[in-house]
Amino acid sequence: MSDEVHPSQRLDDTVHQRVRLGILAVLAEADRADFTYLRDQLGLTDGNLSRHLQVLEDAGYLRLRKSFEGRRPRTWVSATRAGRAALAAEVAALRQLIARLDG
Amino acid sequence: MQPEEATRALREVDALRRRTLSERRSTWFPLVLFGVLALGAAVACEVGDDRTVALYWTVAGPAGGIATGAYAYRRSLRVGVAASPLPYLATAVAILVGASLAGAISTGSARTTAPYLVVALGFLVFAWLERHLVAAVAAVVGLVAAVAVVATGPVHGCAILSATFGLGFASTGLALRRREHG
Repeated sequence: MSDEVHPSQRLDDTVHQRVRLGILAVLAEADRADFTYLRDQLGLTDGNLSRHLQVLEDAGYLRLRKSFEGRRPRTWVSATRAGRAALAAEVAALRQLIARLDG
Repeated sequence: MQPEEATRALREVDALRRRTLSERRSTWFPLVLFGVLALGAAVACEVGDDRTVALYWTVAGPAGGIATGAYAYRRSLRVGVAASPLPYLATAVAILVGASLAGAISTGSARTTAPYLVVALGFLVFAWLERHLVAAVAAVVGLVAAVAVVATGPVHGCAILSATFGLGFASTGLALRRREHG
């Protein structure tokens, strides 16, 4: 019997959720993205996106920064180092899972 | 988890990353701007001497860098997605310092052509930061042209190389802009 951990056990529940994975995927290619951009890219409502951002922020995967452009409030979102590492680990685990199931 | 589910998740991640990368890039702008500036340098090479060309780039280089930074910043506010400016700023400073040094330590016609070696290498770094193959090809073509001109030292080498960079970068930038904006 192998001691190797099954790739599915390496999937992080916080990151594995489809929308949260999408948020981290967008932020992997950018230093920061604003709330509206993320909402439109992922096809979400404001409330839905806010809930997912909160989960990722609580896990230490995101940083949120609020600013004003004139009178208009704007929320910028960035991935932390831990968030980028979590995405990389998730993608690696998914690749391993596919390779294992295909092989 | 089913393999189809994992495959779909990876496809979605890849698609989102590609789209974000494409939307945060503004590669066309510095190519067009520095292409036009290089065409201006070609004129400076013909009407002036080494010092005229050095003075031209002392003003045009930083001005072009500032204009590019301002454009990227305004665009990031409009689109809602931005890259970190630090690697770009570091590369721009390295190009300015490196090109100045290359001109200062060279002799003869290479005083005005050797800086293009640094400029081409710098644009290659920019292309890598942007992960933009077309920009990388333009930089490599520029590098090959710079090596050829510096090595052979032809008459009007400064103007020939400046015009080559100018036409190559500007036409590549305009083609990219047309593709981005339809």
